[in-house]
Amino acid sequence: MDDDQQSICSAGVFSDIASISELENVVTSKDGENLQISQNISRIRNKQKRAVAYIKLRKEQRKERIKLRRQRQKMREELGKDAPPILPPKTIDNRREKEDTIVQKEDREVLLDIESDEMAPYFQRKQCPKILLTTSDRPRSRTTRFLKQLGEVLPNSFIFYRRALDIKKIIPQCIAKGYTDIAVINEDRKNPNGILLCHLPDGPTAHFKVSNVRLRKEIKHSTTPSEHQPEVILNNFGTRLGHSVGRMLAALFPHDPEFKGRQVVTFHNQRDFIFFRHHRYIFRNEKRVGLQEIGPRFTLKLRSLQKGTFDSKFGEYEWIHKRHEMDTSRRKFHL
Amino acid sequence: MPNEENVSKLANVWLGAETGLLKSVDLCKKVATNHFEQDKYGKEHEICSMCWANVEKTKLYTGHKSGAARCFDLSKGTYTETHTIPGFQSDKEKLVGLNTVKDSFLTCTSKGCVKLWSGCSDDVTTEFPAGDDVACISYNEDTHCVAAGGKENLMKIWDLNATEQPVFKSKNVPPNWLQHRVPVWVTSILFLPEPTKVLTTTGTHNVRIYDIKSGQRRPVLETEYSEYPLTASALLHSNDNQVIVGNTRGEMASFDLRKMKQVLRCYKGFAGSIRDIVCHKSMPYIFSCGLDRYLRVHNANQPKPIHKVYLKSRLNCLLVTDEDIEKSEGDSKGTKRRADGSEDENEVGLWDKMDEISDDDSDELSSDSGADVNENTLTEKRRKS
Repeated sequence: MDDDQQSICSAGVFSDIASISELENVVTSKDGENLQISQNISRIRNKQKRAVAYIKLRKEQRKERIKLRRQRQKMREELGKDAPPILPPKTIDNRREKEDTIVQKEDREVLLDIESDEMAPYFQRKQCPKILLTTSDRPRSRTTRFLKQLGEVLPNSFIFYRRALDIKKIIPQCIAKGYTDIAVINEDRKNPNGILLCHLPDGPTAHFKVSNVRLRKEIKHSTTPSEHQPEVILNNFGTRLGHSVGRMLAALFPHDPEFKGRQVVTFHNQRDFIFFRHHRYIFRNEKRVGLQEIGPRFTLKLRSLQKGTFDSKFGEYEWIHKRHEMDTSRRKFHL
Repeated sequence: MPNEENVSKLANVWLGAETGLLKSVDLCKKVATNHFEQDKYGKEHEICSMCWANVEKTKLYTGHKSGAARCFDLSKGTYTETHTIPGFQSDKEKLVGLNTVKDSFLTCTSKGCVKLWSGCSDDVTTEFPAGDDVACISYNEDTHCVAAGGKENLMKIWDLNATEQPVFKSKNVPPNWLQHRVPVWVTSILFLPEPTKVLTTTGTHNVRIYDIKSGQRRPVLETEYSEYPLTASALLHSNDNQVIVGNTRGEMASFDLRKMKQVLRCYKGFAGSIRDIVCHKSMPYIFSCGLDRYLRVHNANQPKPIHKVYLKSRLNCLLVTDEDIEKSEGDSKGTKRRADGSEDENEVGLWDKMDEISDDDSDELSSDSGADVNENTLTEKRRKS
């Protein structure tokens, strides 16, 4: 119990705003020379002269880089076996900005929060998902096809024509009939572009942007699904917000996948984009696995997460993507 | 919990979380601690409201979802007493208000049952109904009055010495330009420093000021902010004419009470709904918490937060001590943080020093001290002349 208390004691993470600004200062002072030159260039008022100066600067920078690379190559050849290992390439993903809300495994407080959230009955196996699928009003053919195919992916889901009903009026009826989720697909110019996922009876409600929709027919060598319950893979939902969203998505599929069907649904999060894929696999031998895509294929991006059932006017938001405030860095991710 | 005594003495901010944990945050040392009683945490013990138990701010009361008000001793770092509201049904009603009244405290439930408790014993001295669906309650020390309001429940003010009839009953605003009735939805109430004036924020994104003296039951001043329900409001103590409001989408702004029509300043950095805003008693700091699980500290003059603490649970309410948040001088950390933007504290210190300088010996002093002081003395000289 002592350990538990200790972990529940570490109550928070401080975002060190001060130290970040200091770091930036250090960086600027490091390549201060280049900075000075580039500043001087921006002060040149004649556009042609400025362009020439800029090209010259870029050339010099390139020369410097090539020189350094040559030096490193030479050193590596000289040292042979003792050479330092080649560093992994710098990518946006591995230089991700430090996120305070990454969930640690042994964190009792977050666990306490997660275990008593709205999706808890599903994870305690007290509830089986039952999903209502519908669209925005007057859907066009591509959206209806997408809806149909999504209905084949989600076991125990029911497709309904919207009939110009308000979502706020649908919700109480759904709760009475024992639905656990509502998914509403929105379309724009005949193409599906958004999905609203509302967990019942007490929320939360997530709004996603949908892009790059490929229906089954548009995927090469695609096939049709069977009625087996699929396995679910959720990748990289590391932050606190990611956990909430991941749990919502997991709660759409029933427990106990039927492995006989060899179907797998993947939600892969990379740089805040959630990629949805639906495959059938086969173990060809001990080493090789064959994959066949079933489809559909699409990408989700979280726009907002709201507490409670759908109420975009008076509902309280837990998280909203504010582009101008949040997207300050290419290496900052929220999920 | 190691050396908890120190922790709770030095903490700047106390927060109540949805998970039933009481959190203390020391912004100087960057320490956050959870305080809880064994088996008395979890969502059924969610902390809904908090207030100080005495003027010295050595004790505080926490109001729980289960209908209990518990006293927490800051020096001991433990809960000392528990008061349960008789007949409270936690599935049907919520505890919406908890306020200090002299030596005792008052509680208010969403069903409108206001109770004034007598200090440490479990007796209720005064009890009166405040109407259905109460969302907020506020107490004014000077006039010994209580104001309450909520959804379809207009703001009313009672004198605690005579609670049979309210002293002031507000009246709904006239129908809008489409001749539609404007719904009543009071979300927070503030007594302004001028004791006859009361400020309310509404779910229909209005900020309204009522004046009891004016003889008018409708608001004397009214303005709008954004398009979403306002959830919290606070008065900036360092400047009495400024009020801060926050809404469900994580937008916070300050207004000047004399010039209500326009926003004075917007504050940034929020991701989710704001649940509570509190300002520092003497410094221009704004503390806010909400559903995005962050405690944020803004300087009233800057849009970006100066401190941001992730506290792992959704936060419902907060209290702020009178301590200065940048007080740790001497150690390197303190000076570093001072350098990064909050010059106000620096400036205040300097101006304090300068009072001693007279015109005659200013030359002498400026030669001794650093460059900043030199500049400042010069400016003061100019001002004097």
